[in-house]
Amino acid sequence: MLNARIAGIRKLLTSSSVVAAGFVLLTSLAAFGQEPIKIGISMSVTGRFERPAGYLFEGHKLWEKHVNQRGGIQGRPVKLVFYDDKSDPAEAIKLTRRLATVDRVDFLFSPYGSELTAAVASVIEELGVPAIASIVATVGPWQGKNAKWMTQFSSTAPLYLMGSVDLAIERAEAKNIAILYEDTPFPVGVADGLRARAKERGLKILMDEKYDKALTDWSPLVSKARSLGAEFLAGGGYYPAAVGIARAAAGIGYRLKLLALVVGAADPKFVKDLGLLAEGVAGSDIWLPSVKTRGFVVEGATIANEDFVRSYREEFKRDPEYWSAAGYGAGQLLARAINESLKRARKADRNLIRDFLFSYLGETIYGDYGVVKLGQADAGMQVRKQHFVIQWQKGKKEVVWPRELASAEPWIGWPK
Amino acid sequence: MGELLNLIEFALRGLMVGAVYALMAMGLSLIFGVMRVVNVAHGEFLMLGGYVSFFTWSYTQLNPIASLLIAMPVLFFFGVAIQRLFIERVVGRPELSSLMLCFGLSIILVQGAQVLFTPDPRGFTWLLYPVRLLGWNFPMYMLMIFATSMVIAFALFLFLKATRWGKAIRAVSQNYEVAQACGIDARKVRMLSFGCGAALAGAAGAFVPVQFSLSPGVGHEFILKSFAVVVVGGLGSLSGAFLAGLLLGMVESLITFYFSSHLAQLTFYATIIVVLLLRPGGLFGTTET
Amino acid sequence: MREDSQSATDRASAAKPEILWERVDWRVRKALLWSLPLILLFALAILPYVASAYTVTLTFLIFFWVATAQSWNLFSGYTGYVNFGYVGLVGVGAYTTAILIGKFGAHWLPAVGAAGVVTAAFGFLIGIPLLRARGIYFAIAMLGLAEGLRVFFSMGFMAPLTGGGVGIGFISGMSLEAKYYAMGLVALLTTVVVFVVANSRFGLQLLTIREDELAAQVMGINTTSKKLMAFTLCAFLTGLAGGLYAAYVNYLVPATMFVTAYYTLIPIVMATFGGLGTILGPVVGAVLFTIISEAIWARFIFLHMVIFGAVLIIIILFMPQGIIPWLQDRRILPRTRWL
Repeated sequence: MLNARIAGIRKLLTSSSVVAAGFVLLTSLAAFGQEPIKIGISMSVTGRFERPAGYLFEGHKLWEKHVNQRGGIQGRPVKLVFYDDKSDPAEAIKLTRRLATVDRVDFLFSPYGSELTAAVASVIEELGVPAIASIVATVGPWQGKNAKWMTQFSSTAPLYLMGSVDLAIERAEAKNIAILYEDTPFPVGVADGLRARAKERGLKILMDEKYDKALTDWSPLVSKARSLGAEFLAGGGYYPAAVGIARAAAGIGYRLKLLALVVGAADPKFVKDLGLLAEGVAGSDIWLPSVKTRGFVVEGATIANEDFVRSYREEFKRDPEYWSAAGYGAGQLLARAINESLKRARKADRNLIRDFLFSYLGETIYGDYGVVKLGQADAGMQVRKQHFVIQWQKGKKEVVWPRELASAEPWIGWPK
Repeated sequence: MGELLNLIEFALRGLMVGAVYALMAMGLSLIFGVMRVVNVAHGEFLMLGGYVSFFTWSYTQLNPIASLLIAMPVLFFFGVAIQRLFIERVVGRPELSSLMLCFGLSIILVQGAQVLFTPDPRGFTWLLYPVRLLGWNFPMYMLMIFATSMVIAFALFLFLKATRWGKAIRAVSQNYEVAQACGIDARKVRMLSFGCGAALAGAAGAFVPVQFSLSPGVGHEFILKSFAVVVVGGLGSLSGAFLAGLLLGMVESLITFYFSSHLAQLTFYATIIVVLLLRPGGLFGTTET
Repeated sequence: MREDSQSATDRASAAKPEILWERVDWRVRKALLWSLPLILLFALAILPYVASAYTVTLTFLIFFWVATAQSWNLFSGYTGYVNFGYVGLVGVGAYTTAILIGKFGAHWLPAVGAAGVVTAAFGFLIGIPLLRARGIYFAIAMLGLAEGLRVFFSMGFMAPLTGGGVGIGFISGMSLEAKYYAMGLVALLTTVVVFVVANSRFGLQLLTIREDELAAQVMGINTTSKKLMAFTLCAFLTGLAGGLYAAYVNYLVPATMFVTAYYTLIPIVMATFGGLGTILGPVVGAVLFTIISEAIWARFIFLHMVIFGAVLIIIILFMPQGIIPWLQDRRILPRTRWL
């Protein structure tokens, strides 16, 4: 009697352990197959770039969420791995190495902005990790560098305000321009574009002045422009400069045919800070919530820009900025690349993905994408992304240039 | 003639910008004079004053000058608290201690502001129309800021000259031991002066949302220039700080217009070095024993 | 009588407090003091061949902070003059190397060496006028100098050389291993220099200046020349570290290089935490801070600057003389010429 019971218990134990082992084996196999694809980011949580990097990161995070909600790329989930680089280049380099060698990420999104990305560019090339520079507006990391691993997702600084020159000439009939800009890499690039375009179209450059980033009062410089008789003032720096220049100009009673300022003027806060004074100020947008773009999510599914905007608002309780769209769009591009690789080689192969990034011509919710091909001197540099000149009209941001995509007629003369 | 008129216009405008520097520098000088502490976190008091002003405007539409009635007391008590909890412990210690302590406070205040207020820039427009004064155009808000700063500075001088506590402050900054021997409670004086210094910075800050752009890191834009002003005017000398603030504001404006903004910024720092070499105590201050 | 003197001696020796370190058996102590440094040196020497590139990079940065904290200590810790514009020296060294390699195509070795020499010359030249200022005035003057340098390197007329506000990018031609060993040597050199100075007459003179400059002058010490020597030496070592740092970052922009709140503050915090005027203090401070920062703060991503500020305040309030003197006060470590 007892023997039988013992035998029975033994059988039960044996069979349940077999089942358990099988279960563990199956789940571990399944987990193996579902090992997440890791994407590393050195993110500026603190420091100078905190605000734009915050938006950029939210774009990445929303993308991660959307992809995983739909079961991942070919069944594999994605995971963002990030650390704070404190907006410091040395930290960014160290963290990039950490992500590549310790966390063993499969791909990298660049840190925010030109300075940090320029610093990590050589490390990325050395480590051979495919990377996308989501928001880098200068050409430093690509021009003449024959890059092999990182492509430029966003557009370059010179293109930002170029359209405003055309707008000023063709619609405002401006005869001259005053270029005023901050002496740091990005605004200098923007000014380069303005200068080149003005020269190309024969617009007289009355003033071409850069100012130190520690400047807090723009009235002397704006007065200079006025005393030289400038009808069109363009350039700027970051947010405080846009507000400061507009206020300085209004404060001295300066009347212009067109005022075009980079970065700040496109920020929704601009109209809140300046109220009526913002009416008629032009800026540059590289992406707008109203643009009718779409992009890849997972195989067989795309998402429209307006849906991105809506989900972003729900998730983060604030409106997305173009940095957010860039973060999300970069994710879309990467997803496409990973998808192709998984389909063809059954794994996320670095070389296949890199080849895709360098050769793909297509669209994400951010806009068009296309870079200089591998093997050329400027390989990886963005060449297809378009820009919009926007203008505040009746408290709303309208696209006024290029004409084909304009949502409203441009207003001439400022202040209103 | 036109050139001369231009020059005067810029000089006057610079004077108005300088009024803000003057307020900040007076606060710094006051704190240093009494405690021999260089408050590296002074810029953060400016920032906090700005946020008080901004939120007062957002919720009650109260103009920045009236909101000073809230900003200054708030910053005063905040300053007193900081002094009592932290600064008091490093009084009398070598300067590295107070420098580092204030740096630590500065970091915490900025980070705290970032968490509480978000890094988004804030501002609002107030009286942004030009006013014709003696043939030149000046933005109205600048005139108001200048006038208010003059009133505050004057009130401060009156306070220091005529009231008991004001005299106590002056006594302690001139000779700490003798003042104590006379029965003045140096600790209370220190708390009072730190509070006043903070209130002055807060007053300067109340105008930042109107003049510039308010964000948690805005203090850093002003602190180094304030140091330049204090050095020129003399650490510990309030009238020196006041005049130097106006002077440097003017100089900054003129150089930016006639030369370049780089040169204007460089002037601040070159001035610090030159003044410290020629007259280590500053233009009006006493040489340190 | 004899009993009294006997008990007096007993009492005297009983009253002498014991140092924890000296309670350890002398053979064990000797073994540790010989083997530990050797093991450490060996480990550091072979690190690039056994550890990941990330660990090597991290150690490289530790070397950088050791070198800078130690150089800062060499001048400010021993003379008591707070160099609050230290980032200026780092930046001059960094830019010298960047310009020599980027604009003139030099090899990194002479470029880094030149960085040391140029920064030393710069330190010497500005030291002559600036060291006349005392105490807080010196600190503020140096602060002004650092910010002035930022503007100077951004200025238009300097642009052909420095790239102005846009900055200068270049390829150093150094492998990670080369950078690692070079910076390690600089860190070692800096510590050795501090050791030599600390145990020399010169070091004693500097400490005298720190305690009471007027008395030092009365005693016949030429305080001006001693201060200048220390400052120039500090500048030289800082220039070397700065030059290698530029080789690491490959792209310098005045706005991100001349950041006082980072490149001045962190060496000061490390040196102060370890112990100013000591030899190993800055080393301890640099190593501990970097490792703690990597291990813990990376986890509290949104809080770590607050923690840094809080730590700073706590150090100043409760342990202002630094960890090594603190341990020495508590009779855990001995007061020797090695510490």
